[in-house]
Amino acid sequence: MNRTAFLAALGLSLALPAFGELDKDDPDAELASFQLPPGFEANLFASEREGVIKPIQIRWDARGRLWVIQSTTYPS
Amino acid sequence: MIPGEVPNDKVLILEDTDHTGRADKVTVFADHLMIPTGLEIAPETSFEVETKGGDEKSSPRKAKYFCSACYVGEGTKLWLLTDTDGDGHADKREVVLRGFGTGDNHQNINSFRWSPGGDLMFSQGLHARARIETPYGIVPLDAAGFWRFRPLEQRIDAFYGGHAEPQNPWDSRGRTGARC
Repeated sequence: MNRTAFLAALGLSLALPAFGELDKDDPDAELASFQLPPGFEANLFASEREGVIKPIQIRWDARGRLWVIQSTTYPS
Repeated sequence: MIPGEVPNDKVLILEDTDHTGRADKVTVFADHLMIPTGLEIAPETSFEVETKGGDEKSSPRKAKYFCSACYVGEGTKLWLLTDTDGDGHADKREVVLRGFGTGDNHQNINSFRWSPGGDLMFSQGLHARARIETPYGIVPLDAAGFWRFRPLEQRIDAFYGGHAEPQNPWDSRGRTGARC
């Protein structure tokens, strides 16, 4: 689980080639736009809906919890 | 941000408690930060509290509390944020080191990772000029480079420096490197 969750969390901060055509506020639309190699899957672990806004660094701890630093202060 | 607005950047902990692959519990570990740029998990501690049972005849119970902690880079400072009472929120904030460069705030200390040897490694960007006060003297680092902090000695060493962008100091195979 952690691996796929990590990929999804990573996806939060990656710009997509087709991002301009998507609703930027809709994480489900962004998830649906992923093009993955055979054998891979991506799932949404967290998004702005959980309060994750402009994530800067993420770390997993030994309990499987995802720590995030985020900033609403940094200019958009 | 607009003038008069109080910065309220956060350290969040996201948990998937029901194992669905999606976070269902969000805890604000720390708030009222201003542009934190680096994060790493610090060693966890725990303590036990003995509580009496429901009546006089029942035996005492022990409740165990886990106290999380993390290092955060924020502007000129390296913080150690600690939850001392086990409620999931940092109630102790210590400045570990100060004097990191803030010449361009998206180049502040970043990309925190423990090295395989247990040192805290992180990077700074091109426009940072750092002068870190330590028990061993002032440690400078101009422009882009790596830092190595040894928590047990409170010693920090600067590496590289120069006009290039250092990348995440360690990869999953324990290798380190720089892009020039």
